[in-house]
Amino acid sequence: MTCKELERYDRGELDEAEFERHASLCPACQEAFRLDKDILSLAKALRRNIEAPTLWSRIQETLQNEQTAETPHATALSMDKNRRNKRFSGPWKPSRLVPAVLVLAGVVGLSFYFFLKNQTPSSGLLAQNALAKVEQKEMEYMEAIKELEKQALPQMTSMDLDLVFLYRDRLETIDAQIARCREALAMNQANAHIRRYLMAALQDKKDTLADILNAGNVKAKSRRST
Amino acid sequence: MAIRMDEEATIQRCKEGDMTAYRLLYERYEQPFLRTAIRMLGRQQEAEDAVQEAFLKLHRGIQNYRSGSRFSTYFFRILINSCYDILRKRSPASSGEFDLNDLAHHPSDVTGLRVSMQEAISSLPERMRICFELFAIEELKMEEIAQVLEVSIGTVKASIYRARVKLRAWLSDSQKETTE
Repeated sequence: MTCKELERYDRGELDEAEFERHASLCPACQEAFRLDKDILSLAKALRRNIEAPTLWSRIQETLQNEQTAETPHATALSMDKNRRNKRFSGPWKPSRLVPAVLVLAGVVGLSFYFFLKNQTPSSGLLAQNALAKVEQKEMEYMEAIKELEKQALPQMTSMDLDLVFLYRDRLETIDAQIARCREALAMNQANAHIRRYLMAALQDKKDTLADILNAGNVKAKSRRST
Repeated sequence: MAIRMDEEATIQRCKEGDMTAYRLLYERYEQPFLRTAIRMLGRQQEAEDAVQEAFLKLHRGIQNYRSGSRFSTYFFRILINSCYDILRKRSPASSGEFDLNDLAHHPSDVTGLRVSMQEAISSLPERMRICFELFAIEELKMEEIAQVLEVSIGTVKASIYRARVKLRAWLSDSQKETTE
């Protein structure tokens, strides 16, 4: 027979100190308490070192590559400064260059103005079209998910508790991912990387709901056959 | 508190791009990260990829990290998300291949109870298993686990209590079998 205090402890209604006090007077709970202590010490024994001799060098290389990719602008600026310093020490004095630069800038500016005027804004539209397509796809996913939710979530009431717990957690994790993506997209709608993440999360949610529906149908079928 | 202040200084140096500061973080987090990733992914190679990815993501986002929040929780969450990314990219055919032997076997393990314990933990449902491992093996607090996994504290508590019940039944049976 299970002691009521053990049930309360297992539901988290009794903290460890309270349960230990009770266990000192109840043999059944004493045994449960001893087993819990053994479980924790066995679990701690699983905490051992794993050898990964090349991991740090891989990480270091990745981070250094990333830093190098981030700094070409800074490097270019500093090279430019050096070059400028050398140049200005020769016959190319800034005072002689200023009028030439102004004329050149005027010519380039006017050419750019006429170029833009004659261009159709196709590249901008393409980006807009792509974004619209992605948003349309996301909407379709959202609708499919809404439909699946209507059918799948009621099925969970007839499932085994472990399975319910598993699916509920899975959905919770995916929803958190979706929320994170939406948060990031609020700052930049056209971030393709986040869009891909969001799409993967939506796909994941759709698949999970389909799994729940499937599991519910299998359970109902087996109940009917028995 | 001293560790926290040290870590804050290290993070500041990381923000300035100091590679030796990253090395310090690596030394502090390498083992818990590798253990957690192996438990989630089952394979050391993929676990190493996840840790590498976590460092890369940290490097990309470290300028946005604010010192008020707990760094270990923040960094652990990056790792867990990297593991989920790898799991998501996996082909369905390979998702069942697990090799936890590296994690459980140990030269001093003569009784095999440690291996059985690893198997018993591995048989727990995914979320329950991850919560229990972070709590019992990596010794994270329940509040930290909730933040790392981005779930409610109630979910974490329920997961750990249910895992404890299941493992208690397993250990009780194992001990009875050995005495019979």
